[in-house]
Amino acid sequence: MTKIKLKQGENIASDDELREWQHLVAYHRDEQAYRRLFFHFYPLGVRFCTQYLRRGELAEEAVADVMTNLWLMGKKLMDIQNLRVYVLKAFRNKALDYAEKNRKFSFQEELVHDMAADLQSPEERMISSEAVAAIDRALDSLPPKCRAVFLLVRETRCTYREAAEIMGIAENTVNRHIQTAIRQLAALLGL
Amino acid sequence: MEQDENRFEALLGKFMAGTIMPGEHLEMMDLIGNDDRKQALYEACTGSGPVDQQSVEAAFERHWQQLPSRVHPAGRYFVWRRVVAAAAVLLVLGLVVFQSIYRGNPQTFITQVGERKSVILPDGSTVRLNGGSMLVLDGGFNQANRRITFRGEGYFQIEKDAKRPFTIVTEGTTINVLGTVFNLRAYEEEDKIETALISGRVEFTLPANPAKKIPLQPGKKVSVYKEGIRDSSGTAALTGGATENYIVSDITLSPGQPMANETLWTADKLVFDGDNLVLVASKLEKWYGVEVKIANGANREKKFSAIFPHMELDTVLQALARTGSLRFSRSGESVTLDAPTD
Repeated sequence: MTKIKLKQGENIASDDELREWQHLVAYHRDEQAYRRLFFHFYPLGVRFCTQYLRRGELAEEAVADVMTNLWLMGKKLMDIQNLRVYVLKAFRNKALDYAEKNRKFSFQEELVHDMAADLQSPEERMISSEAVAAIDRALDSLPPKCRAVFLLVRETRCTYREAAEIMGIAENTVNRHIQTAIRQLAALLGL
Repeated sequence: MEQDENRFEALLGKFMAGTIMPGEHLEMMDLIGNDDRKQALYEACTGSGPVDQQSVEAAFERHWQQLPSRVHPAGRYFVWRRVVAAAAVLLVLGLVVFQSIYRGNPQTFITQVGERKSVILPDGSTVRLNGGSMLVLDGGFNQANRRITFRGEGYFQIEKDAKRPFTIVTEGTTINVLGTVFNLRAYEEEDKIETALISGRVEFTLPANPAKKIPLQPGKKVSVYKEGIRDSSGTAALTGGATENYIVSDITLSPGQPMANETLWTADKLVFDGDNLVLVASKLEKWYGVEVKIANGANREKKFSAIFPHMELDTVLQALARTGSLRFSRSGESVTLDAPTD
């Protein structure tokens, strides 16, 4: 079966680039490469962690924590086979960690549906155009877990299998979330 | 129409899963046609979120300020080596305190044998240090000048600053750097000092003639021989009637390797590049933190070439022995290289 290459977004680095930066950071402590990794993971990380944490600053903190750990790993960084999956998994774990410690600010993964709509989060500050804002409002109305899975697949070139691994759910569940998201977005975007 | 919708959503699902066939992809684009609603849905499912570069930039600056730059060292040492190292550190600390009272604030970075680590200098330059190296910043570094004293091996990535050239003083040569990446191997106990230039520009001068500046081009390396150039039998000889004690040659790239042989150590590969037994022994000492002796019977000028990625000392020694040019014996942290039996 021929696979169509997905997602050609300009902010997304190829796996080869990620591997190169990983190597440069691990062995050369290369600031430029670390900076590129940061630029690659930070925006998505903040969006992703906001699924779990009510306050934007907490999401930013969680993402920065994960990035710091990457830097401190030194050469061990090269032991990571798939950096993309590793980092996203770390984001989720860190966010759940923070959510546990800051209960009153956190979302319950399964329960809360539309609180995301009134978020004052960094992702809202990143919105630049009206059309995108409409799409983002539609996204906000998705159940948080469904939205997290959708963002993962949309923005990181994750396969369903990788997304399943990151979220700790079955591959079929990923598929179900994506279908739900598409159906709900289709209804909401009835222009 | 309803059917269209369902078909479109199904195709979009396949597209996101990465399992869509080329024919289906065309079909999906056809279905979108001029339908704004489908177009919006398609964009919602495929575009990545917009990113405000400036806010990420600001977040990175904040993050970088708070980031600890230390790396945990790894390696094995003798107890006495630790004691010696501790004493050396105390001595250096004493010197640092003494000097800082009199002339600014010099700083020292040290690696023990068997240890490799990277340091970031106050001007933003980074240096990866191989085992048994010492880098001392002159007082006033990054204010009036950028001058360091160095011994050992380092992979330097120097920040450009035309106003304050970067100068490295070693036992046998002085190097003026103008924003560049290069590798310098200058151990006191080895007979040559080697500078391999990866990019940018450097000039070096020799103590005998400090006025003469010798430039080095990228892709070239210079080997300065402290005791003069020796031929393969080990006797002092100057090539081609030259009166200088240095040779400029090309840096070497081995097939399948990501970078020059001279810098492969920074990717944790131990490299012998036509090195004689004396240099092989010295490299083993720095790499594994062991003591390597060469027995009298061994041919000290025998040359070896090899690249060892992440290997135990014994594996490397066995590989060297398999050439038939030497045998080895090892007891704990002490290794002896000797002529082969028979």
